[in-house]
Amino acid sequence: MRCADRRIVAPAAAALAVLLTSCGGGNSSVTTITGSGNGGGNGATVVSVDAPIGPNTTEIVVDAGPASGFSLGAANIPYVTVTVCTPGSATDCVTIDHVFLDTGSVGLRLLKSTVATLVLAPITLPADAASGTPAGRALECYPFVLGAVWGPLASADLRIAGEAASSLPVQIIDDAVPMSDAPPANCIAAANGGLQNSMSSLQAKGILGIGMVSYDCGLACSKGDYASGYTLYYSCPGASGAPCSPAAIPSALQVQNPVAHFAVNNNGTIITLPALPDLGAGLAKGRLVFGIGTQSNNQIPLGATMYFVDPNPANPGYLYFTTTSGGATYVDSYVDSGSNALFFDDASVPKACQSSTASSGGWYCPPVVLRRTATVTDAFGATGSVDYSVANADALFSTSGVAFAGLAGSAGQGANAYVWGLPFFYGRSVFTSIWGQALSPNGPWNAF
Amino acid sequence: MTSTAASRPRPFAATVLVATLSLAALPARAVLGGDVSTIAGDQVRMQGTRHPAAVSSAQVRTHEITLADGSSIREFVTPGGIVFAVAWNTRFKPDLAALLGAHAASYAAAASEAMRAPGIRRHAELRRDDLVVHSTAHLNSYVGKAWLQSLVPQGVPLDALR
Repeated sequence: MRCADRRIVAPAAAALAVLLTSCGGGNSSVTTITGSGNGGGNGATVVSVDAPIGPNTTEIVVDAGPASGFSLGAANIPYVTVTVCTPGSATDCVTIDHVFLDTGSVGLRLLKSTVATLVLAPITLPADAASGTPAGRALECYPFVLGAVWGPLASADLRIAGEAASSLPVQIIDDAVPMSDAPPANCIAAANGGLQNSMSSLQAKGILGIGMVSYDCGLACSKGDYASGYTLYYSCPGASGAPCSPAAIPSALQVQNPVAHFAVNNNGTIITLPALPDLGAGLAKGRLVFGIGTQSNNQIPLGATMYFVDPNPANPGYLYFTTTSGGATYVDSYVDSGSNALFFDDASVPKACQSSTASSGGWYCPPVVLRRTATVTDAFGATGSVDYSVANADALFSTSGVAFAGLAGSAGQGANAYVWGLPFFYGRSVFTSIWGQALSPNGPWNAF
Repeated sequence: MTSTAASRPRPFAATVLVATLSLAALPARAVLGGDVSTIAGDQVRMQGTRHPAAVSSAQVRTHEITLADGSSIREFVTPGGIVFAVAWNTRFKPDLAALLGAHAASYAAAASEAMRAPGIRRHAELRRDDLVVHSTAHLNSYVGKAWLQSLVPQGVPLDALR
C-alpha cells in the first residue's frame, strides 16, 4: 500500500500550489498544498491522504497539538476526535479533539477536565479475600517508560466515526489541581516522580489505545498479582483522600481496547498516513480505519506481509519481533504510533545535535538525509524489508513543521530495541490486529 | 541475606558491630555493583523462582529469577562475584529503584531530567555517572537493562546483556 509516486511541491514556492497524485489503485490520494504561509519554513505545508472513507473510518491529524494558545512542543503525535457520552444517553455527550492515537497501549484515557460535564458512573470493585482487595472505587496508575497517569475508572459510551462502544471501562486521568485522589507512594515511584496530569505534560486531551491486545493488563490484575513491578490497579474504599490498596480486578472491569467493543469492525485497525517531504509538514492528515477484512475498505492488500510479535508471555521477547539493520540485530522491535521517532543504535550516524539533552541518547543529526533498509523478522520467521530515512533532527526542529518522516533518535549503545515509531507510518497503511477477536490468522500482529 | 559476620574471618568486635548495623539498615535486595549474594533478596522480594547460574561466557555468570506471570530478571555477574548488569522482561513496569540499589539515585536524577520534556515515552536511554539504563515498553511487556560501565568485563558485547 505504498505510493510509488510521492512528488512534493518545493516548500519555498511563492504561490499556492496544489498537486494531486493518485496511487494505490485509486483507493487513496495525496494532496499537497504549499503556500508562502508564515514567513517560510514548512509550517504551511499540508500533506494528506483522503482515503479510505466510510462509516468505519475517521480522520487522523498530526498537528501542533490541542489548541489552547500555547505551544506544547508536539511533534509526530497523531490525534483523533472522539465523542464520549454518559452511558445510555444520546444527549449527555462531549466531543473531544486531540486524543492521542496510540497503538502501543490499550484503552481510552481522558483528562478529567474534558469530561467534567458528564455524569459517568464510577467503576467499583468487590472485596476479594484471596488477594486482600477491599471493596471500593477502582483507580489505576498506568505507567509509561517515564511517567504515568493516575485516576479512577468509569463507565462511558464511546462514539468514533460510525462506531460505538457502550459502557466501556475508561480511565479518567486526574488533572485536577490539587488532584482529586492523592496518588499512592507506589504510583509516584512508578511515575519516576512525575505524573502526566495535565494537557501540557500529556501533549493531548487523552489517549485512545488501540494496541494488539484486548485488555491493558489481563490475568495478573484479575489475580491482583503485581509481584513483577509497580501496582497497576487500586481499590479505594473511602472518599477522595482515603488510602488505596492494590486490587484484584476482573478483566471485564479493566481498561480495555475500545475497538473490541464495537458491534462489527472490531478485530483490528488500519492507520494510513501520507508520505512526507524530507523537511516534514505543518499538518499531516490520514485515516483511521476500523476492522480488518470486514468491509471492502479494510482488506489486507496482496502485497502486504503479516508480522507476528512473540505471543508467548514466558519468552523474553513477548510482544516483540526482530529487526536487523546496519549489521545490528534488535530482538525487542515493535511498531508504535505512540513513539514520535524511530529509535535504534547506529554509531556511524552523528549524534551531535543541539536539540539533544545530556543524560539521554539524543537525536540523530546526519549532514544529509540517510536512506536505509532494515529487515524485519517476525516471531515465526516471516521476513520483509523496510526502507527508512534519517534526517537531521536540528534541521527538522528549526522548521515550523510538526510531522517528520526522518526523525530518529539513538536507542543507546548496545540497544536491543528498535522502535518503529510514527515516522514508520508515513507513506504506509499499517494494520494492527486485536488478539482474541474474530480474525484469521488470530494473534498479535502488524501487517504492512 | 543470611550471610553474617559470623561466617567471615574473625573480625574485631567493633567491625562486627558496624557490619551488623549496615546489614540491618539495608533491605535485602540486589545491588548493581554489589555482591552476588544479594540476588537472593530479589528472589524474596519478587516471590520468584531462582534458577541455577548459567555460564554465559568465561567472564559472565547469569543468574535468572522467573515469576509466575512469565516475567523474569537476569543478573550478570563477573567471575569475581560482582553484579555488573541486570536485565528484565516484566508484565508490570519494574521497580528499578530496587534493582539498581545504590545507583537508584543516579537513575532517578536522569529520569527526572528526561521528564522535563513533555509527552509519553516508550523507550528511554538514560546515563548518569557510571550507570546506563535502557528501558522499553510495548503494551504490557516491559524490557530493558542496566549496567555499570566501569564493571563490564572486557570483550562482553553490550547487546548480549538481555
